Amino acid sequence: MRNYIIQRVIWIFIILFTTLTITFVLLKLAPEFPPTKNDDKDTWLEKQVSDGFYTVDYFSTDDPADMALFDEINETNPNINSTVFIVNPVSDSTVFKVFYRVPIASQYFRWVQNVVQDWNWGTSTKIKVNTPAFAIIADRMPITLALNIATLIFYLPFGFAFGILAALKKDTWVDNVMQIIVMLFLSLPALVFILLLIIIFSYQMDNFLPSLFPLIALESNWEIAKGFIIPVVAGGLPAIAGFTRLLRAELSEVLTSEFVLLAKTKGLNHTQAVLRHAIRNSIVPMVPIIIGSFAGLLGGSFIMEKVYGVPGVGRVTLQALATNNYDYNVIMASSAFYGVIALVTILIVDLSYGLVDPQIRMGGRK
Amino acid sequence: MNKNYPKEYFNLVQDNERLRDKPLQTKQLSYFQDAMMRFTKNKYNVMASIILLILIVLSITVPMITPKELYTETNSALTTLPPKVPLLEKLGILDGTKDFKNQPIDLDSIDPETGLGYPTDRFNIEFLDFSTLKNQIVVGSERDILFVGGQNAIYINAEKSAYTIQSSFEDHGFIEFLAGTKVSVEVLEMDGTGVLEVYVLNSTVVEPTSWDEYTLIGTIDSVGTHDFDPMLELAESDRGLVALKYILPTASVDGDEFVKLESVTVDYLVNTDDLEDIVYSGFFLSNFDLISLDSDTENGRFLRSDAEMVVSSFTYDLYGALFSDTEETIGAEEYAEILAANPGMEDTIILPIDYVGTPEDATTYAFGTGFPITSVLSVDSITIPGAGTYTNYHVMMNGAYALGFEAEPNFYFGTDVFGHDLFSLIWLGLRTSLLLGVLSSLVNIIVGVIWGAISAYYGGQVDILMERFTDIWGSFPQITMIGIITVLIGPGFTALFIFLVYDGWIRIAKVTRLQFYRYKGREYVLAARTLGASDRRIIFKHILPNALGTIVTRVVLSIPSVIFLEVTLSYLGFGIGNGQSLRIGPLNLTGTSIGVILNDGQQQIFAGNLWLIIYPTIVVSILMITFNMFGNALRDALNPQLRGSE
Repeated sequence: MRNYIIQRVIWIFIILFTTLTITFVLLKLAPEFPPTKNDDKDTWLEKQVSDGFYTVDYFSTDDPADMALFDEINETNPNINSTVFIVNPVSDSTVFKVFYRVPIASQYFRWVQNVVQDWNWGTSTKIKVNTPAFAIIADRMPITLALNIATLIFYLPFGFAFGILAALKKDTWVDNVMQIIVMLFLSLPALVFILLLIIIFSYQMDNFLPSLFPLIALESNWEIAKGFIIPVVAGGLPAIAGFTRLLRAELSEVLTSEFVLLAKTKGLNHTQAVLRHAIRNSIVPMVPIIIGSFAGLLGGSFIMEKVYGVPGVGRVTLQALATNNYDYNVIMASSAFYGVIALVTILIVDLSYGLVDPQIRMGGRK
Repeated sequence: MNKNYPKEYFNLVQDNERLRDKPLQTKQLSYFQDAMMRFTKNKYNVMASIILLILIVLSITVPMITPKELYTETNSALTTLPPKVPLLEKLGILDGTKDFKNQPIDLDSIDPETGLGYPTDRFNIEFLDFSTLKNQIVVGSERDILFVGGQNAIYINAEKSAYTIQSSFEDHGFIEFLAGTKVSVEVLEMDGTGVLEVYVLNSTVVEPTSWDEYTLIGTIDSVGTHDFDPMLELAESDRGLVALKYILPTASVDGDEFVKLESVTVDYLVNTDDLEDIVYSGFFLSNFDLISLDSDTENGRFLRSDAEMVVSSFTYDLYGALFSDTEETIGAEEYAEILAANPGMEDTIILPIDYVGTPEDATTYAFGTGFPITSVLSVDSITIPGAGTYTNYHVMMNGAYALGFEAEPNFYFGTDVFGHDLFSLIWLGLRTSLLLGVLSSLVNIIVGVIWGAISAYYGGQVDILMERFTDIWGSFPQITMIGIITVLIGPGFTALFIFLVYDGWIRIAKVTRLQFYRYKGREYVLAARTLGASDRRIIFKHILPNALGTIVTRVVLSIPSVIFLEVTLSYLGFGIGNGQSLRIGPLNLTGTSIGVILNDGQQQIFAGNLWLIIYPTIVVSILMITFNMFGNALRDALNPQLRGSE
């Protein structure tokens, strides 16, 4: 078991490292989009130089030879504003600066070094100019995690209740109606739910619930709590449907086991047998599914965040992807965030199989 | 129990004849007949499949038979018309009316009996349903003429010590100061130790630059109404503007000090027609100009509070209003042209009942329904000597005809903001979504089947390597992939397509791999290999057909999720968008998809144009549900093990 965990953790690092490497290289193939304002651009590019992604040449305005060289670069270099950037003299200085991007390979090694040694993910170019990219993501992590945990807490009780009800009433009209509803909810895209909820609770009921997530700094806790309702419900409904279906299938299977028959022979009626014996056994395989659903919810939550204006990691990542205003460092940091959460969840799911059901030996030999 | 049976009791079935297999008495079923039988067994699934088929047929035919200009050309007259369906409108639903909410009313329109008002500027009250009219008061702080009453407060910002407001020239022009003119200021509340100074700026000063150009006429340090006589400081018949300056003895710390004003009144002793008292309160007070002559010490806010606006909600017949007859004056030539273009129109002329005289001389008459002109109100003839006689017809033009329609159109699903017919737009979008879904599923199958087949067939090291590759490839976070593709390619058809296929094949590869592991150890595979069949032959001729059922089902079930993804991505703006197009052979795909329609519609929710969200949602939901049910039916049908069960 210990070897298996170690093996899995190493594998996670390999996957994460590979995906981030591919992302880094592919993003660096595209032109750079530094901040637009000259001062910010200067600060950002100087930081890039100190991080090792750029080299810089200085051209003094006092020296005519320098200026001639500078003009030539400005006019003839084909990569200007794509990988070569010019910064006009900042405030009192008399120096024009020309920044060149270094080759991708050496950028990559510097990037790995920066991240591993100093946890330096670079600074943002567009979202919050010259703020460390990871700080931007870290700032927004609490709200994203809160939203997803709230969804998890919201959907579990309903999922359990409906799943058990469906299994108890299997093949009656209650079950049939529930199957249709489950089918409906699993078929609808999440964004449709959130739009419909906004229409019903915000438009038709005259702003009973806010139509956009309230501004955290300005509103009271009560208002913010109200802002959670629509995205949590919209994310929770398909999850409830999925969970109901799985629990119904699982419970129906357990109900055919001998021990349920035994319980019934002892004199328990059907409901008692289900509630006291069958549920315990059917919950066991659900534990990994519950843990795994967290990654699923998180992956889908960027749609919620975008539609409802929740200032979370997903929305900031989508902002970083605004056409021709790309903020690569923020994209890299959020890729790492989503990657780590997804992979760690998969690991926990794998391990939990073995923990909740000793019959399963993960990675065990024949 | 012993019984004796005589020998004749038995006779030989077969004597010297050979016993052969008899042909089966029951009808033999081929694989597909069998599948079809199981497919049709579940009535719900058959129904779903039929609905799915109808959706697909509609998505192909509707864009073909609808006039193209209905969904391609922007028509500003037709924007956001609600849905109208011919038969259902008789039941009172989908009848082309729209419920308007929060429409600021025209205060003059208030009915003394009911006390209800309605807006008059953008609505034709003829088509307003008065039984649904409701009024409501909204409290706000907007500096807007629709908001009435309320108070205005001058705040001083932190670290500043004064702030000034001055009557706006645009509202009343310069104020005339005559003998006996009184300026009164009603102060409701004062916070802080400051005083409110009342100034007059003489009209001769164009741009005030210092406080020397203002004349102080009084100072207020307590709440209540304060009257001042400006004539003590001003000359007779001076003109100017009133300014109020709130001053603190020391700079504000928190920026919380304020003075709340109810009104500023200029009171003349004698009122004449062109000299009435000027009362600045509510909106006109809030519209005062903000003056800050010395930015180091003077700055603040001027805020309105408790202003009220009366808004109404009602049901309004948009179709009626848009396609109602409009009065026009047309020349004799145009009149004749219309008559010539509509043969039989002249025969339908209906003369007024009390009309006497010959029909030719009638100047007021109506036409039957279905013609561009509904009635002629009057006919004027002007004879200009030497130039002939000109005749003008005052007519009521048919509203539908004026907008280029033969008859009043019915938009089943309403129209969008660009005036496009949503009904044809949805099917057009569905066609794009479906085609993209099917195409990318096709690519997914081909790549996935080949990958999974190779991986499982060769097994061992190859399998491990290929599996690890899919592990890494499949664990790219979705949002990262969106990022990379958007940055490298930019949103559009190509990006969307890559996004739909980059990891879609992995699932198919996994299924194929599993199926191959099941079948590759079978004896018939061994037999084929012994006979010297090539790997390719074994994979595609012997193993794949057996695994096909499961794979096909998986593929069909994956199409809805691909459409799902397409809708989401286009909605987020990373897929296609309005104005893009793609040509595949004879097919011209437009950049309209369900996701794009939803994206356009979301901005319309608070304008009350809910059909722009509801109809695409309904269509996409039906598509998803029926596709899933069809997939399930197919899974049951293609699984021979289910034969005879149920």
